[in-house]
Amino acid sequence: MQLAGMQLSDELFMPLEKEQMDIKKTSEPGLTYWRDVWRRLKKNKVAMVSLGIIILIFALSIIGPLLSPYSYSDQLRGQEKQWPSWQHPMGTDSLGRDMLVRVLYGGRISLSIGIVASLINIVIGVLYGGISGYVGGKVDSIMMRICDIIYSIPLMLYVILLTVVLKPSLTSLFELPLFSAFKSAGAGLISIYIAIGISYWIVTARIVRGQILSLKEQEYITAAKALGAGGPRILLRHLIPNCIGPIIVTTMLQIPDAIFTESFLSFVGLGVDAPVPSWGGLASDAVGGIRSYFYLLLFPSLAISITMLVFNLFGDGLRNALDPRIRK
Amino acid sequence: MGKLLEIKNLRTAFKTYAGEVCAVNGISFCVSHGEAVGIVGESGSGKSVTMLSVMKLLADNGRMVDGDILFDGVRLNDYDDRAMQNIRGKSIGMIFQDPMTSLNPVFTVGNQMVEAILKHNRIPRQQAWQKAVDMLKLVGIPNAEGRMKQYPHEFSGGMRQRVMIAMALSCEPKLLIADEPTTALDVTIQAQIIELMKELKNKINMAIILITHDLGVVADICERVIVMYGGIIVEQGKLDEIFYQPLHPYTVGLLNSIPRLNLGKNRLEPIEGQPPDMIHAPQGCPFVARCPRAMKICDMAKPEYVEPSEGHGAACWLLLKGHRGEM
Amino acid sequence: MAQYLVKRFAYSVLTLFIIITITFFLSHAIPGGVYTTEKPLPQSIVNNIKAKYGLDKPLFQQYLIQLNNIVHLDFGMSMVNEGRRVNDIIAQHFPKSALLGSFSILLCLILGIPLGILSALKRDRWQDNVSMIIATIGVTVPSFVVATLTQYFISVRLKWLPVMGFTSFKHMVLPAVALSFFPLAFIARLVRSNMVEVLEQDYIRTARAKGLSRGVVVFKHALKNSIMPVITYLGMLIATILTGSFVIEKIFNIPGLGRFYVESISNRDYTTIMGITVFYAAFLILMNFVVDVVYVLIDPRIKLKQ
Repeated sequence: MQLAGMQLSDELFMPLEKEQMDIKKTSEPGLTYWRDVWRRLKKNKVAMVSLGIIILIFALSIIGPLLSPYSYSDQLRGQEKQWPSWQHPMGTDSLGRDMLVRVLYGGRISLSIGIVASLINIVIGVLYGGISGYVGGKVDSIMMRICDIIYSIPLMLYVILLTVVLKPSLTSLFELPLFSAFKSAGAGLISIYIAIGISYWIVTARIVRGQILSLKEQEYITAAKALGAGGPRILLRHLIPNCIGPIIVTTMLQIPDAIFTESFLSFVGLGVDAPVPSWGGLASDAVGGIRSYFYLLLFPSLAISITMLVFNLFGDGLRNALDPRIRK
Repeated sequence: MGKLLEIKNLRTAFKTYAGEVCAVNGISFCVSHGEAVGIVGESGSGKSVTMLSVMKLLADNGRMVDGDILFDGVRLNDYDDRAMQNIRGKSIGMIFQDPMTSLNPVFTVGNQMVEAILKHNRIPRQQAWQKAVDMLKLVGIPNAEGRMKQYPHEFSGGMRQRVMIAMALSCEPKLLIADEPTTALDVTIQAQIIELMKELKNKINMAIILITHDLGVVADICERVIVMYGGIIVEQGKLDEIFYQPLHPYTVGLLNSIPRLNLGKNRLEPIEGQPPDMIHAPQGCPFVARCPRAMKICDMAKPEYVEPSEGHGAACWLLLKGHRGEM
Repeated sequence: MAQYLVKRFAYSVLTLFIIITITFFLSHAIPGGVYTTEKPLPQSIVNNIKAKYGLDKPLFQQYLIQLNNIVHLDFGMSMVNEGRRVNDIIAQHFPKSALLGSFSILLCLILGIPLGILSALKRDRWQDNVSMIIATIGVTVPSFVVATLTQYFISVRLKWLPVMGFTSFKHMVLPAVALSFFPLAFIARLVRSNMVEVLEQDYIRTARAKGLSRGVVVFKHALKNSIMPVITYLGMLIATILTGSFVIEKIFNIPGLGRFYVESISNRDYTTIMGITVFYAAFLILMNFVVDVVYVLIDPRIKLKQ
């Protein structure tokens, strides 16, 4: 019998050395969790392109307005309602304001709404869900019942009500010298931050609670308890870090939702204060003039849609990367 | 006894993110009419994939790369899905590991049984219903008529597995494939299900292929045993031969890792290490890394399957060690 | 089951009570009111207005009065539209919104579900890709943009459909399309992902092992299981259509309740905001309750639990 050209000698039938075998028994070291996630994410072209576009959108919104010769509120006399040109790549609006800089600046506002609102969501959601899941029992069932109640009504109604209430309240509040620092941000913007921020945390809370419920039964929590760690410490050090994956994914999907909600509010007349632009505000301003000035609606709508799209695609990709079971 | 099922050099591969991976790598065996054969091996050894290849029920990313499957003298390779539908359920019945998820939760048990009977028999619905009731009685479900109208979630795990068996047998198949039928059940229920299968095997003359990782279950009903590891058959033979004259170190390891009261041993010997990663398939014997008797050659080339005695053989270099001159 | 429904009903009532409370205190936290105008009104007139709407009473007493009124299904008078009762406003405008909404929901279901099934069955092939691209556009473009664009191109440019108003079926097509765009896309994605998941379940393999044809397996065994989550989504769907109506009715100039709600927000018409919000909430809670009942009737697994 031949084996790859060599004769079967007695030598080959000697026992395999022990050291060689030991090396073989331990399979190659597994990648750490996050490196594994990153490796899977990198393979997902759609998610990576989306991530690139997200970074680009942020960069343009932050740097763009600084490079423009105009500011978002500059009214150029005699250049009103111009169609896109080299001078004004996105045209100008009815007051002669450059649309490009307004869209870029609007990006700052819209993105900040997405991020600030999501951050508020996360803080409330994580704490609420964490406490509910960790304490368990009666407290858990009452807290979850409250969630159910809030969830059964469209959050848009709360957001509208809250904005209706907050805007004038904050306006009068910012008149006080103590809070005058906020005045420049505008009561409209801040009321949107808060209204969206305190309305959309239910999803996060539920996810965190679910994770905590399953995690807290696991051995390492018992081990931590045996070492004398207290409740809050276990919650913050051990449980919440293990929920990071789902939390990031939810956030990724909540940012575009908040931007979407803001555009809706602008349309209803509860948006940020003029002349500060937001994508939603720009788009809803343009709706009336659609017949003659199509481009005024086009660019802000594109900005919203592309942002929605890339955040959603990246969020999906991230979710798949975090949960290898869904991997195709 | 003629051959009912004959598998020749079957290779089945799955597309994964790391390319195409062979889960079953060239296996051949036969099952005769009325014979009970056990296929034993750890999870991932390719036992289920082999049987799903026979049924042509592989997941979308899997395909049969090579080999022949002959059932009752017919080559199943040539059958398309429509033709296979007349084999599945009618000539070959199959039951699965987890009875909790193997029945559709939104239809009554009766509905699911009757549809199988109607698919393969031209009989009125009334008669099919009666047939289903009879089958449920046969597998020992009390109040069969009433149970027909209930949903799967109203049955216990053991009862569901009985329903699965009744359903698989309702068209009197020549071959029953049982894919780990007792793994998901409580130990006491396991014994009942095994007892039931034994009883039914004697009542209806059908062949059984029992897939399991539990040698105890095999000892109970099987006449022949096939031991699989890493996508190949490492050893096969009659029940006694496997239990008392195992040839392959893996079989020896399996036997040492089950508790046996009569041998007076008080230590179980586990097989050290993990099954091979099929994505980075080893070039030598798949068991080399865990084999207590591994030799240099084991790491370099796959051993061929040889049968020192009629019907009992293994794929191991140890067998070839003594016979080198003759080959 | 009866016990379950009673319990659910009790929760619905509790929910409604909480919402009335929140709405009441929120709307009274707004500084100023109808009497805040460009020029400050004389104090006597302000007092008169306050007295007329009961705003001079202590807050808690106002709250009790409000609760009592709502129990008697009386939402009071509009503050801005002189002489109109909020009840009348709802009775006059809601049917139009409801008609448009029902049509939109129908559209979502009869298009969204087949689209999702098609995608799942033709997974990763062009049918799937095309449907999913449409679905992705659906969830990324704001509804008022869809509405404005379709209105402009189909009605203004091509003159295929009327631009505005709400007097015939033709008037309903574009608003309904705009309203159902997002939920339709959502349903298609939901059905697709459920179908894909269900097709990998053990019981599907069992059905195939019985020798059933692909058609029976998909349309009997997989379909019912994949549609279940759509029923749970129905409550959300109604809510989405309802909030969507705020912008769509404005764009197409439809005299529905949504448009009226938005107007009352900008007019700071407390009683109307309050009345319509409570009405919307009650309506949605009722719908959620109905959806729950339907779900219990359809899914055999729930019956035994309670």
